[in-house]
Amino acid sequence: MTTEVLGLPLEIGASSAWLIWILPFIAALIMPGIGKISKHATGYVAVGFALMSAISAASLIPMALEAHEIHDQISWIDSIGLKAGVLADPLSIIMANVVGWISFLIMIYSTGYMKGDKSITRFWFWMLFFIGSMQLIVLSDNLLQVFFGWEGVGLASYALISFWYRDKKKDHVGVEGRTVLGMLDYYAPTHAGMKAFIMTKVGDVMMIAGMLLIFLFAGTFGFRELMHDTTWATTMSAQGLLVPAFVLLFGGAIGKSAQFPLNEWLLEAMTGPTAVSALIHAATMVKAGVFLVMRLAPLVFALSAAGILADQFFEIILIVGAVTALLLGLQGMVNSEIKKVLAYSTGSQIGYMMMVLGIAGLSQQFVNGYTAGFFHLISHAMFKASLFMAAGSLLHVVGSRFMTDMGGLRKNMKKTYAFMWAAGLGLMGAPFITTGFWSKDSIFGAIYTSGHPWALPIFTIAVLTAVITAFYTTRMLGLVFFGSKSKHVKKMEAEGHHIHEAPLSMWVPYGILAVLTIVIGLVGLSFEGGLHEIFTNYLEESFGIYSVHNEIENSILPGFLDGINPVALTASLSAFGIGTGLGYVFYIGRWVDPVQFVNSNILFSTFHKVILNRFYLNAIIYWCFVVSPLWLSRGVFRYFEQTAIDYGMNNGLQKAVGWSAKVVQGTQTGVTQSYLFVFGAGLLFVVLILLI
Amino acid sequence: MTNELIDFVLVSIALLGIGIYGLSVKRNAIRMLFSIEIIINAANLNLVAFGRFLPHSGGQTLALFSIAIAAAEVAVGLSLIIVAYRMYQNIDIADFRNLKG
Amino acid sequence: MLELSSTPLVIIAILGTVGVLLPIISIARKEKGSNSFYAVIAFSALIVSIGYVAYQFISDNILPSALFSKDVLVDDAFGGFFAIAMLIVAIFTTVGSFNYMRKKNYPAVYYSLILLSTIGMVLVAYSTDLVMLFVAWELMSIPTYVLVGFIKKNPSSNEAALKYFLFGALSSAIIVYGISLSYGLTGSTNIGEVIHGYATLDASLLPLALLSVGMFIAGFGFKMGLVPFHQWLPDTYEGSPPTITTLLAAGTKKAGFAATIRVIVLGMVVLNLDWTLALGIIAVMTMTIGNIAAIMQKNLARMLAYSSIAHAGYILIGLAISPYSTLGLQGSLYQIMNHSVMKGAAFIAVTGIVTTLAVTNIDKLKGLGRRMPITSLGLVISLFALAGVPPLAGFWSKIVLFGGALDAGSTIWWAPWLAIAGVLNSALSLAYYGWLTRKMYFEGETEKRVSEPKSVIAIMIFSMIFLVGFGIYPDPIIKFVEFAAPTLSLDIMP
Repeated sequence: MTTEVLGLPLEIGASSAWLIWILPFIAALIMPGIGKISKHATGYVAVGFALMSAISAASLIPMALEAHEIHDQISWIDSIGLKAGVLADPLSIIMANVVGWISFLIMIYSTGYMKGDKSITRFWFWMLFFIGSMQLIVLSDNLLQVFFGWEGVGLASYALISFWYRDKKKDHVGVEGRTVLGMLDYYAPTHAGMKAFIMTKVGDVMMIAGMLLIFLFAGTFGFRELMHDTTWATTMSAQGLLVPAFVLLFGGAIGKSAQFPLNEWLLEAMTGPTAVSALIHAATMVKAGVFLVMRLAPLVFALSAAGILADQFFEIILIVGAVTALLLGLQGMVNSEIKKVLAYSTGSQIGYMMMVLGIAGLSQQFVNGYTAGFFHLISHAMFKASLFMAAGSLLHVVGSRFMTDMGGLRKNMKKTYAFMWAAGLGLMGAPFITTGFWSKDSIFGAIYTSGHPWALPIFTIAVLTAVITAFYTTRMLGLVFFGSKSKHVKKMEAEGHHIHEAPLSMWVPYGILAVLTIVIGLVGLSFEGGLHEIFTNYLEESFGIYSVHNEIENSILPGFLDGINPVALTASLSAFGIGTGLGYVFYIGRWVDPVQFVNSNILFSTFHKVILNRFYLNAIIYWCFVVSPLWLSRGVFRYFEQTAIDYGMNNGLQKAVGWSAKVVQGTQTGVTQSYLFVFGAGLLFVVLILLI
Repeated sequence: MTNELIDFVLVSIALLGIGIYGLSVKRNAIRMLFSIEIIINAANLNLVAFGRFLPHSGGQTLALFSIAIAAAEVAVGLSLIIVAYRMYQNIDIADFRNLKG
Repeated sequence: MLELSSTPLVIIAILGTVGVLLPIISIARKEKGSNSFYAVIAFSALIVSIGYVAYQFISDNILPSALFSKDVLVDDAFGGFFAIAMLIVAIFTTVGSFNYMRKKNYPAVYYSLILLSTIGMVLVAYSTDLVMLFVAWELMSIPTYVLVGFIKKNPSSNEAALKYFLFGALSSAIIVYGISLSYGLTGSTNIGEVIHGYATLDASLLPLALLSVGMFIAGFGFKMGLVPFHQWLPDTYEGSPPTITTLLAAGTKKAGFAATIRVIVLGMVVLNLDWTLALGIIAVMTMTIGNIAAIMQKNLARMLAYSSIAHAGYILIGLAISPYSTLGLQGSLYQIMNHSVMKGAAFIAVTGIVTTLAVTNIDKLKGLGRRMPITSLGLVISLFALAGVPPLAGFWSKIVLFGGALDAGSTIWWAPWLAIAGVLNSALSLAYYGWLTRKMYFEGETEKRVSEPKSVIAIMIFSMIFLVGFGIYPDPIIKFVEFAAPTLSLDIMP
């Protein structure tokens, strides 16, 4: 039976699983060659390969529906029994499709957005390299291979954030000249790339430590092998190392998904071209952390079912997710740069996914939280990519990253206006018609019904964040499209620039995603039901996690809302209502002037300032990890190489050793001499250590 | 017998001390070279002395090797010092400090 | 007795003959120039040698792992491993010199000295007797003193040579003194017998034995650039011709490790296990000081010099934990092989930059990625490999090293801290590698492409293939390392 699924032989399935990530790499490799022949052709080739990769992913969908999995391995490093492989189970197949199709759409968008850029070949190279690495993460069957992809996406992200390496003023993020605690809040692309690279590297280091720790005990990196024989977990748990190892792995996810406290790089990552922000910093790479948690969580949960407890792992995920969701959501309310608002929102929404995955592991009904997290991942990938691309169009047309430089654009850019509303409604969670509503609602439901003692506070945070989300989304739409046109726009029009709609290749991709947000939203419950069923089967077959059947009586709701928790429903409806209403009052209806409102009360204005200054987190990180090490480095450098030795030779010894001082006194030491002195001291040191 | 060996070793250690003193105090490149030679000779003295009390001649052989190699080393060292002298008219090692940091 | 066809003897024969003949040919031809003629001869000799080592491995003529022997040399896998690493470096140096030595005086002498020094390096790794070790050590060192000062008109070359020479001579003197003590204590110069002798030494003589070991550590540590014996190293690497810096950083440094493993590490088990802590402390100091000093450097060669100090620290981790985990020495050997290629390629890239643009100041390297694309790419890949970024070869060796340290954690409490220090240092090193990359690719405006030396391009391509290829498929090297890494016990006298 397993040889054929819906007429598709398994071998072909396996090879298309390989192709999903190999194709983009091949395309990346040939890209410089094609660039030599014709710059024009690069775009077509890149889009073509992205499409082929996406189609390979789509060809696996039947497997996912049938709950089959492909696990194909080739030998890699024989000497330590390492194998390379692809693991196409429902989780990775759906994820690969999300990544594949959204990247395809964004690649089309890029052909318009990046038109005429001189370094277009470099752009395509890194985009394809990124897609390949990302799909490698998704389809890997072992942690080490995941780590390879992990580093690959990190490298591509670094290269693409600093893509406009000439550091022109318009490519910066932040307000010029603004400082927080003495640190400039204004970043050049090259600086931003570096920042992202180093901050995510902190997570990577933790991740590799966790991987190695597990490998030392289990002797394998493979996900399936880890599940197959769990004696390693018993040993690790007995030594108290199991939770630390998984938390270290989660450290990698924190870095990559921009979760607290490694969240600050994501904002500056907005210096990259908007296509990059949409692909890497909204739809895919930042989800890699969530994906990693989704790979590991069933394993950990299955272990705790077997009596090896690792609740702290889920608790940490839960807290990190909740803190991030609220913290970044709040900051999204006050920022004036459209891409930064979206970036804050991305971090905050990923916080939701982490939160619900954490609660899943702490509740009896694992599959509910798991499905909710994944559903939110899919819906967020769609509407956020759409919003980013639309924002890119606005930037493209208006030529400024500040929302205060836009305003009143609804007449000029009708399509963008409509699509941004659709996708924005998704983000706000507009009831019953958007994916965002259903996914957020199922998150609320999962948290509320988890039965964990922390459920209520976490639920409050989640609802509060939803209010905030609805508010800042309305604010963004209001600032950009409503009110009167800003000075900047008027000046442009006075200079004879016509504010017009973005070209076809740009609005079609985000149009498609915006429409999908609504279309899937209309059938949201059955879509979720499908996912739920797939994952129930998946968790049962692969991990032996059985869902607990307890019928919830919810007779007060109409029939089409079967299975929805009434409290969660009320919460999400009111969150949407309050948030949107407040936003409408300030920014669409413009009945109250927000600036006056904030300044009316010392409490509001202080709070506003703290949020605007990013809770001082960024500045503190800079002081602790950038300024002081540089200072230390200069100090060490000076002391070891120049001062300490000279000083020690000329002065220190005089006082310390009476008679030998006279000997030394007669010698004015040169540099070579001081080297010799250290050499001798070293010899003495070594001998002393040996004697002891 | 043993006393004699100790004598040799003591002389050798004294030479080692003189060599180290010379290296750390003198700035003249040739004097520093001498100091290093003194250390090598201290080692040679040790080797020959030990070799005398052992049934085979391994120590003396090594001493011969070491003397020959030291000669080669001095030849290279002196030529480097001559080149330096031609350039600076000076062989004060403390003045060679362009490379630092 | 060794057979005449054994690897070390054949290498001596080939390289020695060619090395001695080169100056003679040059005198016979009565000319100063024609650099490439001599370069090709030297290159072929090195290729034949490395081919012979490889042939010996393939035809299973080599004893596994590291052994003690009654002879002065032993034809074992450990020596063969180092021979391959060092010959690769010598080939890098020779090929890199094709361009660098053009229009410079005395090419024949230059290549001859490289070959002679290479013999010395290789023999250090094969020696099983302290006399042989010392002679090989000097054969390796003396030519390099001359080579560092080879550009006679250049003051910094001369200064570098003088500093190098003074320290080199001092360390040789200390090594001889150490040998003399160990000879006096055990009555033998054979390494195996010395270690046996130490194991059964009268307790009252132990301080002397330790003094001798301390002297070995200092003497070898000078070549390896361990803190605090490192201070000559940045000056010398900066001042000497960049090709020779390649030889020093990637080659002679490894000879120091070979000697340390042969003499100290194998002896550690019998004398006192507590020494491992001393090595561990030195390893951490070396990594940290090397990396911290490197961050502030403005000169490319000097930055790489400090980075190579730091790498000596990583390699030393493996030696420090060798009695507790078999992964220790494997990791060290693996890192040694990778480092030869990575650092070799990096310094050859510097050679290429110096010969075409005549700058080493990092601020002047803006836009290098457009001026010299292939050299820059090779440099960047080797830098990232040095930092241990996957999927490059350097990643695997660090994994094995740090994994070994974690593994050793089950027997010795401080071992995991070495891994932590190593990981933190790797992250630190990324800061300056990344900064350099940023200068090369993301700064500057209007640079035009210049023609890159062909020989440098060849090396860049080779090392890129090596680093990426063995990064993605590291199996062959891991097997090689497992075959060559010594096991620590006294029962390996044949």
